[in-house]
Amino acid sequence: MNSPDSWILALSWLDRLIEAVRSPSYNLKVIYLGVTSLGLAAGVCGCFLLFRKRSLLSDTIGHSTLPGVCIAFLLFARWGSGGKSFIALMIGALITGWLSVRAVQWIKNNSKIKEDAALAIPLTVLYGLGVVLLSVVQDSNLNLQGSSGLEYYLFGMVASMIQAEAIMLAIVSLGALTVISLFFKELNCLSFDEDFVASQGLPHRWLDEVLMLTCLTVTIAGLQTVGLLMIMAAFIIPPATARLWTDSMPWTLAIAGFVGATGALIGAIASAVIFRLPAGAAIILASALLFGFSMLFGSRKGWVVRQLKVARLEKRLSENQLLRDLFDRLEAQQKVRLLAGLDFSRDLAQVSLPVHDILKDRGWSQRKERSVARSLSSQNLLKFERGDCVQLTTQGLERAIAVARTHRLTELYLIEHADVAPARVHQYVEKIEEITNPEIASDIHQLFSNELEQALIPAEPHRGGDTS
Amino acid sequence: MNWNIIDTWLLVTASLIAMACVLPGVFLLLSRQSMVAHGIAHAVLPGIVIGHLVSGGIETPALLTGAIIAGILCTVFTRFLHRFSGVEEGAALGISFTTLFAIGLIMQRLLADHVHIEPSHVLFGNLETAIFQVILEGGGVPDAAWRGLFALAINLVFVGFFFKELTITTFDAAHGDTVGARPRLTYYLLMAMTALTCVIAFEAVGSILVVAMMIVPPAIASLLTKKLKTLVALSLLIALFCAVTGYLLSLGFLGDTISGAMGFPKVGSTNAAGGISVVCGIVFVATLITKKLANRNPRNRPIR
Amino acid sequence: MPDSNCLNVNHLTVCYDRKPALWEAQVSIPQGTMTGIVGPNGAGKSTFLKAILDLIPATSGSVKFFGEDYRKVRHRIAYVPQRESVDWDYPISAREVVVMGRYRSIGLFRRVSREDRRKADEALDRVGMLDRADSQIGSLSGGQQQRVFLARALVQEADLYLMDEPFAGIDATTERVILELMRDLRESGASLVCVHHDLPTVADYFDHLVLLNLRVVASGAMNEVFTREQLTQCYGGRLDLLSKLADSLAKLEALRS
Repeated sequence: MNSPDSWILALSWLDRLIEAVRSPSYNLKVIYLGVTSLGLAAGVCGCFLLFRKRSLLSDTIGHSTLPGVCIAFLLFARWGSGGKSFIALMIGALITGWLSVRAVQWIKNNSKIKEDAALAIPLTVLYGLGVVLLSVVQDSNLNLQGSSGLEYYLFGMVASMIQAEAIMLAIVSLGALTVISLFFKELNCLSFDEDFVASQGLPHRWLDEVLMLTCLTVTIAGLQTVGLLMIMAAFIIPPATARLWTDSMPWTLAIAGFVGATGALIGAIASAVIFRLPAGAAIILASALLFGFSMLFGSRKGWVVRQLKVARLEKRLSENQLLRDLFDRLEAQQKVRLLAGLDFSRDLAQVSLPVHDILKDRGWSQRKERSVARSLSSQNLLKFERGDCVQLTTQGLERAIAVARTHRLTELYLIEHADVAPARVHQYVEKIEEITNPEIASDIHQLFSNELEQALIPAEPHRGGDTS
Repeated sequence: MNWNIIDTWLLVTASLIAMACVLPGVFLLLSRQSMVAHGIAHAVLPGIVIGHLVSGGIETPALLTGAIIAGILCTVFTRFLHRFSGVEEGAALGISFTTLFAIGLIMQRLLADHVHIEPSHVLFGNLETAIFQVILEGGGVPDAAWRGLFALAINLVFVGFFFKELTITTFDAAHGDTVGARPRLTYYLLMAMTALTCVIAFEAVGSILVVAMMIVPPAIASLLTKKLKTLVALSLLIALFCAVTGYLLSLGFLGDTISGAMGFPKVGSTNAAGGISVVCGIVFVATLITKKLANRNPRNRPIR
Repeated sequence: MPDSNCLNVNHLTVCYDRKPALWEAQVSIPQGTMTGIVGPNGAGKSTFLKAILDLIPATSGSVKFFGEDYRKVRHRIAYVPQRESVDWDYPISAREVVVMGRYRSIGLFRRVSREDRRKADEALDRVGMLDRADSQIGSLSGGQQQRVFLARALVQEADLYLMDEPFAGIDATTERVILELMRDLRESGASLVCVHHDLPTVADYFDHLVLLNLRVVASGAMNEVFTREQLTQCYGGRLDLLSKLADSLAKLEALRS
């Protein structure tokens, strides 16, 4: 394809994009309504599946509907008015879908077969039965009207969605959301700690059944319109995306619903714009892109946030290291030992210390040294002096003492209680400091508080005058 | 019904493919990766499309390579999502294989619409057409049978060669690492084997029933034995039994029973792959129930 | 007549997959006591708690709480499971976990009221976790998580607290907090039954003891049960035989099936 052609193509896409967004045709509006409400409901329901580690159950349910659809079709063709009755097919799908959920449970309860195979066996066997039934349905001897398109039941036909289907999807979605919000409290508890729900005498089996039936209904409502794989993705991708953003269950549900709806809408628009782009696949891809975006920028587990956290940690670590080095120098100059019961005075803070010494020992670059020192000085812990020297402020000295104390006590702890060789202890503590939280620090302090009572309490400033 | 040479070849092909599927299946089942097989069966699609675009044909080495790469990519993505973002494993698999499948589908529609990869063909498979094409061109051994034999041979060689490693890896990957069994490499080789088997079996049985043949016979065998070698042998036997029975039933019995039950006229043969997995399912349920009933026997009750 | 025992267990046998994990347990626990359940690994301690709470099916035997069936007096019993049993990655804050303890009294379809939240905060305060009430449960340390679960039991305002290894893998502060709290509860008339793993502290922490190793070796007041003789019997070699017996029984059953 040469470049003018691609320009024209791109322009025509842009044209259609504007049209699809600003003034969609009636058919498009119907599709938007259908897929958005489906994405919303599936995203919300999917959260509970995710937390109950049953994400792939939607896969099993979806595939297991095929025999139900075929049987319903056959029954309806025989005794009903003939042709494809939407409701009949849905009820058929509901029954075999529900059967597959039971089958998974039955296999798990009655054998040592693990979760994965317990999902795969009903999936493939019921699907196989569906394929057999499908060849019966489509047999030329039977010559059933409407049977030829039945296999497309599993792939979905977004483009041919009619108003009734879209309204049905909206109603199912609304119903599912109502059920979820009515039982939110209990479902939340169930997903977090099933044993507890059972021990409380709340009806956990019944709740589980409600949840499964809700998911089943949404799956089946979506199957015919958007297809099996898309409905599965709609259950899995939005909840996983939401997990990257938040630590609260209501927000998880909200974000999953939002991602589900947005992904579906973007996919539907894209397939309206690009000729021959299958809508189901476009919706999966759009959701996957939203997931990818969240992997990078999610506020909870996104890459950027984690990098920032690491950087902040590193910064704090380097600050502490510098403070400790300065303190060590002070200590050496004063020829006293912290653990031997030193009283520190305000005056001690007045001593200027050459920075380049530390630079040499740490092996830090000059830039790093500078930036760490500047950050300390901006927190008013340190003052720059003439001739590349620095001076700790009173607050700086206090923090330096606290840091050095925790550091040394941790070293001591490792030597005395964990049998780490004294020569090697330093390298561990440098690493441990990164992860030490205030609680552990206070535990360590407490551990030594009896033995080293005097030495561990830094002197009050007013007593400083006595010793210096 | 009229038995002819075509039926013989169909039966042979179905048996070969069923047995080829079981070999990776045993280890997939043991390492709890059954759904991964299902994922791979979908995820190979973009590889197939690219392979086709590169080579311009179907059933070429490029196509097989593409499929294997896509299949392995699926497992790599799954692992990555799990490790990097802490997504639960099942969900990670769901995300990666649906996405890869969607990409494949889009590529096929936009770039290679002339390729004859009917979605219904990929999903359902059709043993009969796979053979017919060859038979029409004149006698001899049909290609589909050759491919089934090829898959079985490759898988047998692989399992024979790596039996020790596969055992260690599927049982206890951490231990495998300590004795230098290269569990990661073995794992990916197993995945490659799965992808290869999937692609070869596609045409005949479709992407989903491949998984039935991979997982269900080993699952049945695992109800009966705990020894790995016996498990492999038994799975092969069960696969053979299910393939033969399934095929024979598909010739008329299954379809006629179903349509008869509904009061329709006789329909004749039905999809053979579907029949085979139905038989697999029946054998599985029967085995499990028999086992349960044996435990119910008052003589065998637990002490109270 | 109200039963003076908070728990009576009669001939309780539990099997996992045909293998007996607990044989013929016979235990009575008086009200207002702190009882430790002690025994070696795999002795069936957790199994015992789960079985009396109907969380796993018992093969035989009967269990009475306050002389009644469990279902009737459920509201008087609070259970603190072992920490491994939940999903730590779950998006839920410490306060929300504690509020769960009120769900039964709140009932279906009704919202969590301000009163429930206040009670949850009160319980969190009692375990010294109020300042971390909004933290996600997985971000807390092991000891803090344990305290939150204890708070969840507290808001149930029960008469009997069943705890599975409340002291396992926690820090010194938590251990102190939990112990004080447990003693407070006993003072106010509640009974406590804890699975415990640390022999040296048993005598300090509890006043009643159940020694368990696949069966009840001994149970009763601390000074009667906590003797060298009983302990050797519980931890010593002779009971290996029982576990071997259970194994071979299971194998036999497996062969027959």
